[in-house]
Amino acid sequence: MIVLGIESTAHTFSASILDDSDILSLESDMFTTIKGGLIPRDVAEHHINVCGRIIQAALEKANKKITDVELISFSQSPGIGTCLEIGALCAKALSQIHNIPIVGVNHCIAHLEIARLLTGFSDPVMLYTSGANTQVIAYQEGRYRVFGETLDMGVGNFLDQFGRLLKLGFPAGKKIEELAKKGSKYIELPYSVKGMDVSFGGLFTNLSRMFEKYKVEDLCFSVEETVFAELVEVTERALAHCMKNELVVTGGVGCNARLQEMCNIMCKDRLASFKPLPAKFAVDNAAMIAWAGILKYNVQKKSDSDLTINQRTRTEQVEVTWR
Amino acid sequence: MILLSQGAEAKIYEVNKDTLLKERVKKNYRLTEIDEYLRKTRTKNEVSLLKRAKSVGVSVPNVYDLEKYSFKMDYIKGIVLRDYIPKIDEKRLVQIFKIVGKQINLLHKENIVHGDLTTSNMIVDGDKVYFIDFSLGSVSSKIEDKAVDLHLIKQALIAKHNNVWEKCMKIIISSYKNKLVIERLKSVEKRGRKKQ
Repeated sequence: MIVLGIESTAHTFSASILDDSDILSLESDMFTTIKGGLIPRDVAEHHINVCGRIIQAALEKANKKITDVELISFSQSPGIGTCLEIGALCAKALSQIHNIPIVGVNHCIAHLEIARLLTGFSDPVMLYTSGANTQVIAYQEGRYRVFGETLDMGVGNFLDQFGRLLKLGFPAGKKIEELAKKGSKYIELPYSVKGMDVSFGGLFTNLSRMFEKYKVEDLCFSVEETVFAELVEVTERALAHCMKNELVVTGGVGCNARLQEMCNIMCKDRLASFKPLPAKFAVDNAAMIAWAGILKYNVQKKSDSDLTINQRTRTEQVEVTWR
Repeated sequence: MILLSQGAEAKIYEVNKDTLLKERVKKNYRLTEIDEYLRKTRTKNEVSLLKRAKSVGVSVPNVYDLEKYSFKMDYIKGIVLRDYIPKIDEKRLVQIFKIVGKQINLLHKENIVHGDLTTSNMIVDGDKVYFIDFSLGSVSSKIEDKAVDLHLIKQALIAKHNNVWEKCMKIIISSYKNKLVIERLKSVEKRGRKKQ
């Protein structure tokens, strides 16, 4: 089945063509900014400007025409409202014009499903670390359940805010990673793990008061070491609690080499398996949306009746019909 | 010594039939400075909280022989509540969660916040439910911290015991005396990310 996936939950507008589990093409354009972060109106305008070109490019790279497409899948939830609307609009318009079945999928679930597809793990624990989301998720009794998560901001948003203190621009993760490699002196920072949850608000307040006193490289190094240790600790707790032995890390922050290394060491030490995802499938991408759409459509065999976007759907609200 | 179990952060050894050793193991993934600090402070903290809990009448193992990263305690021979719940009938479930609720109430009344209230950290032995693993606990009189503690057990119940969590939580709340904490629990949940 030829499927067009459309992703537009936040900063990235992306389109992808899949032929069942074969990823034929993936085209993305990400909104970036020097200051101000993600302003919903600006990001939506970016998506409006690139949507046609990206969808067209995905079709061309895959050597397909829109009339070859047998299913359209779009990210329906959760995300920034104005951004979700653009993806939904593209999907609905193409579906109506060309009479193609259409389904909406949950963005977080899509991250998990592409991770399962690409790693081959059957039942992993997943550390999902992106801008808005930081969750430790495992499958149990028909749902993807959240075993641990951030109590305030997502780790990516935290890193971006920290980056803004240091005037690094958006997104800041990659720059922080580069600077951290040059740092070596550990600066003591608050470490906040509550049960299986983490929080970053206190750490950010602490940093905003004292960052000017230290070398930027040492700050980046210490911040990475602290927040990643927190993430890996709660992930290990979830592995132990759920008695599972496979781990994948996904989401934009999941591309960080140090975080991957820490996950790898943790897994080795407890005889679990770890696989990172290729960066382009760890960040927001439409291939995962297409794949999650296929899984959903294969079970229900018809278009969704409700195509309304939802900014706030939680991972465990989604009924997983295909597992 | 026989290694009995390896949790997320510690190994439990059987020293003899009545005694266990809990040792916080080095985590190779994290920086040595962070690792040693966490292991040292958590070990010390856990021992002092266990002693405090014991002194106010909560069922916890006796502790002794505190070292830098380890301590010894009584070997509680029971069944972990996580594994026990699926095996019991409703009457027993009610009975068990009344005890759980009473003990959480007692801990909080004495300003002991457990910090990791899950069904994996409770052991049922006859008519007693032992609370273990106070490694993330603290002494706090804050309503907020106590509410977060209740939030943790609720989350753990939802995640692990989805068919009975509402009943269990209801019993815990009904045994819980501090109305201010219960009020705050609602706002903690609302504040939780993207909850509906």
